[in-house]
Amino acid sequence: MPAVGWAQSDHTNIESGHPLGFDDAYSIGYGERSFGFSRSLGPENDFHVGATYGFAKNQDFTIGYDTKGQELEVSYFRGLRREIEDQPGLAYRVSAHVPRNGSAIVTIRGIGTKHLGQYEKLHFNVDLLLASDVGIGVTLGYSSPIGLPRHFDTQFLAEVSGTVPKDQRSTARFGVGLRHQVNPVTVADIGIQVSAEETRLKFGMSVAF
Amino acid sequence: MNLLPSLVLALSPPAWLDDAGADHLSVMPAVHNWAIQRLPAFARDMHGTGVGHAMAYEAMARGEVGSLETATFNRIDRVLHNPPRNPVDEASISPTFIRQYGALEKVFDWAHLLHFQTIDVLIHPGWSQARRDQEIEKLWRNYQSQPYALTGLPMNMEFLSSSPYDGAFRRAYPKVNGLFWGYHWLQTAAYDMLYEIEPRDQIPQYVVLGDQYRRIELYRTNRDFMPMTAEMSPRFSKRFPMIANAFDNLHMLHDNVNDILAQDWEKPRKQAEVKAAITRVLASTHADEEPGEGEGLHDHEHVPSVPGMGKMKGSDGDIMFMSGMGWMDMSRCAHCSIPLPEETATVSANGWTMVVRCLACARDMAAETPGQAIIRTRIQGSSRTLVMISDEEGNWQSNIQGVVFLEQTGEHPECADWSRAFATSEGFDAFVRENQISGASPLSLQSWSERNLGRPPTYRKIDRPNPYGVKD
Repeated sequence: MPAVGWAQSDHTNIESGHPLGFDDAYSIGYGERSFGFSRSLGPENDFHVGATYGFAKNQDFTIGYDTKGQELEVSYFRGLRREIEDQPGLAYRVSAHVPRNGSAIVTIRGIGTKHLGQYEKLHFNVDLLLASDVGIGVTLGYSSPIGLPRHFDTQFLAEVSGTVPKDQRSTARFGVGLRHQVNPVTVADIGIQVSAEETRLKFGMSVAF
Repeated sequence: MNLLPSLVLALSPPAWLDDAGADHLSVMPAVHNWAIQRLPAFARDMHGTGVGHAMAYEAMARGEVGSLETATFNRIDRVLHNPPRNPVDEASISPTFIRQYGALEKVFDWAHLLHFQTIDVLIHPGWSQARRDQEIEKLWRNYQSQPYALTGLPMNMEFLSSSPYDGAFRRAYPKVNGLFWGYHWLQTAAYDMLYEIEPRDQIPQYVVLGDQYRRIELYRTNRDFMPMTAEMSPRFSKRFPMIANAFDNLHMLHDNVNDILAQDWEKPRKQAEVKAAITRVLASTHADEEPGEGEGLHDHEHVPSVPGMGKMKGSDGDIMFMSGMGWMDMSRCAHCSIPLPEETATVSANGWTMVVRCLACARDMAAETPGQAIIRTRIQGSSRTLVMISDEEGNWQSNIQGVVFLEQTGEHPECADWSRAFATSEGFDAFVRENQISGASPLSLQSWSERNLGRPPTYRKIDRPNPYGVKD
């Protein structure tokens, strides 16, 4: 959860792609502008760059480019509510991936974030993929600070996800990663995602300006 | 005075207090953002204050008040001795507290952001003072544009601390309350360390202030009241009274919240009282009001010569009680009791900062106080503020090499004329010639340091009982 007035780019605010595939239920701060990149090393290498703007409270807009599929990506994130007492934080993201050659894929993602114990959090993401085929993806994410109560700059992340494209066999993936606050405006991330088809090493960086 | 409960009922809390959104805000984009990191020791101590606040609130929200003075204090203290290099997301340290008091987080964080950004402006190198002042005004307008902004009007501190539960936290948890007031000491003392002072002259001051903070201020449990911004940073507060007031109102909100959380009440009652405490100090509650026009919560009375400080308990015109110093007349020199001129000097020692008429008063007042001291004043012939730091034996060092002094001892009502500093000997000569001062020769820093005129006969001690009823 990013806090007002603290780090501009915050290691506790989890965004998909940095380094794993899930989001938490919080947008970047209103007025924040950030730039990020991520490198993914696997059977096919991939490089993704993106810029995000918190254009309103609880809302941000991202535009990015992915080299693997030569895709342009735009997404809109809307935080609906924060965690209050025992109720989860809720949000959704609508993304469109527009490959250079091919038809666009639109994804609608529902997001829930809830504390599990004092500091650990669960993040539940459900994706509805609207393309030529309709598919469903589910990701269960986990995050926990590392080093409390002495250190406050690193988060451990883990995820289990499954995707069920229509008329195709399902895929499952597991991943672990870290997000580390390098300085007040920079977060570095590193992770690994493993599925039956591939193992992918990911690292990236987000910088607020 | 015990008017608070009835007036609380008359206030209607703004609707946003019940908004479910996280409503996170970012810093205003600016080239000066995070300039605080250029003073690493100061930055780390400031980041540590965020950890300290958050850990204490988390313990209270989790019903662990029994551990506040022991395990929680020790946990915080460990961090304060090894504070983080980077700013800390308080919400990640106090998640239980945030889920219960989310609206309060918005108010605290938005004000903390103003704290950090004003500090950044004052540290960012290469700007003129006029440019800095302009940027701080812009930050203030940006701050006031959100509903979470606290009022920049002076609030009657006696009134705000008149609830039946006032003081409960500091009586029950004096060590953790001491930490809170220590953080607020650092946050308020920092401004005069930075204001109108070139970045290269800021770091040496923090060697003194940081040591004072870490060794003494964090562990004081005998303060009568929280540190006030205009007490700790009179020069900054004179220029930006609205910001000084907003920080005092923020710190008073912290105190009110601490007192509420220390009560043996059910959570819904605590949450309602916290909302009422927020409402009392919001800018929206006091929109279009002027100092001295309303009553009670809305009177905005301030010490007349200090528009950046709300009326204090027992204060009478310019006479007010300052914790650790006793009764002071804020319109007069703290050393010679003569009314203050427009141009003054300040002396900081042993955790306090006092405004004095002249450099002789500053030096001699510092000499009366054990420990290191800092003198700050504008001087003729230099755009650079003179900053002098003494060691424990009273040996002074100056940030301006070649500084010379005029000290032709005369009557104290004219001390601002016969006790002065000059950036150069030429400046000294010109002043002496222009003012036809005969027989004056420039004193070096060494010669000036060795002088001591003692306590002036004009000094008048104000002898009244401590209005807080506590022996300091």
